[in-house]
Amino acid sequence: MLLRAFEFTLITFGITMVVAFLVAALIKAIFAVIQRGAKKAAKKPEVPS
Amino acid sequence: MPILQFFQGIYTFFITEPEIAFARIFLIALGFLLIWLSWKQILEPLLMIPMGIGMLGVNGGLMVMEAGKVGTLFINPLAGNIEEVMYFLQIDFLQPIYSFTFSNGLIACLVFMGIGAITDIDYLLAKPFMSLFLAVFAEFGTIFTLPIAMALGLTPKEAAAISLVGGADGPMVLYGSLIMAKELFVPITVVAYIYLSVCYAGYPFLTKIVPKGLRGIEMDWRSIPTVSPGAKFAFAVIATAVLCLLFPVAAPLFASFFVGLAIKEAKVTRYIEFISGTLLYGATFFLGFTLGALLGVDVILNPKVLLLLILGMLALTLSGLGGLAGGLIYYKITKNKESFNPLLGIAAVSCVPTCAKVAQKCAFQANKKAMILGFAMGPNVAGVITTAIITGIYITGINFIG
Repeated sequence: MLLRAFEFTLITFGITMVVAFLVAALIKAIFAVIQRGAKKAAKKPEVPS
Repeated sequence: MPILQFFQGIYTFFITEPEIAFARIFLIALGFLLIWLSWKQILEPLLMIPMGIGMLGVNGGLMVMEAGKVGTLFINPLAGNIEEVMYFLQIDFLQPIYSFTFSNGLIACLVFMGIGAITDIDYLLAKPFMSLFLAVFAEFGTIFTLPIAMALGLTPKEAAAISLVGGADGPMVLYGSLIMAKELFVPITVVAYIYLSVCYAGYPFLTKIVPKGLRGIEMDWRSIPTVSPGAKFAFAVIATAVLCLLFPVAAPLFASFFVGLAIKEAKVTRYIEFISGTLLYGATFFLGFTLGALLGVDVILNPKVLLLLILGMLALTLSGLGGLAGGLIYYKITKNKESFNPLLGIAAVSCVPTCAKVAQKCAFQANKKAMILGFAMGPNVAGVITTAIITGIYITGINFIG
């Protein structure tokens, strides 16, 4: 039972690490996409009236 | 002693067993102590004053009920079937709060909505890998208390519930213990909130393991890129979908936290005022008051309470040390050593914003120019996310142990 508990502990640590990494990657991707969108919008030439 | 029967709070001391009478006296004294410590601002008054008053009320207000049974007019948490619940809803004044907001975890979710609406995620979004790296290390107590608790005789579910104290997140402990160890949720949650209240005073001792020179490192504000509200809003929306898909059991917590965050970033002013004001403080008040009213003699006479006190402290200590170890490891591996303060590790313990304040306080003691609070909020919020992830894993996976 204790061995399984320790095994479960290591699995929990592993899954937490992987999911935390995924969340970090997700944040990075959102950040990059939005920053790129903002830069494009800033560069867009004004339409002559 | 017929005259005493007019004063049933006192009378019941003489008609109950001596251990119950002594336990009541102890809990009344503990209630006074909590109120006094809150008055002195040593404990968190927002929570501890209602909790202390609740304890005084429920342990003082014991009376002879129907059929000669001894009880109170506060709550009956053991009411199981519909008839019993309906009966106590009409008798006990806090029963509606307990039945409709505690037993289904709603109160934890309401507090989480409020926390979401006051949380600043700029630094988390600017430095996500660093923040989440520290947050995983700051979960050492949550992860490694589990096998220790089982070795000391708790069942897997009870062990998982008390381990969540290491996540230093009150609503999460309440939610997790309600699902995994309902019979122990009162002592576990009370232990968690009492320890979280003393984090601000206790954690600075742990930070002494970081050399003073490193504790005083100043961090450069210019290293933080500007994060637009659009990025924060998109993160709140997408993270809800992804995390709820991964951990449906913790979906109410994720949805509650991120709805608060999304509303804040969308600048829906009227909702922000409601969620971060009335809802958050209303829920916190009833959380404290109801927990206090649940702290009757049956809780303190449970032989597991002493073990829970020890394990709760162990979990929080391991998480604090883990966070600081994470901070020191990150300091070793980062290229930009001059602009990273290892104290950010203690901020990754997710007691928002207390642990971020602890990091700032200790950095300031080492160097009067060190201002790291804004940076510390990144790992602090990341800690909330990792604690919710572990809560999800525990609730889903704890049955696999046996």
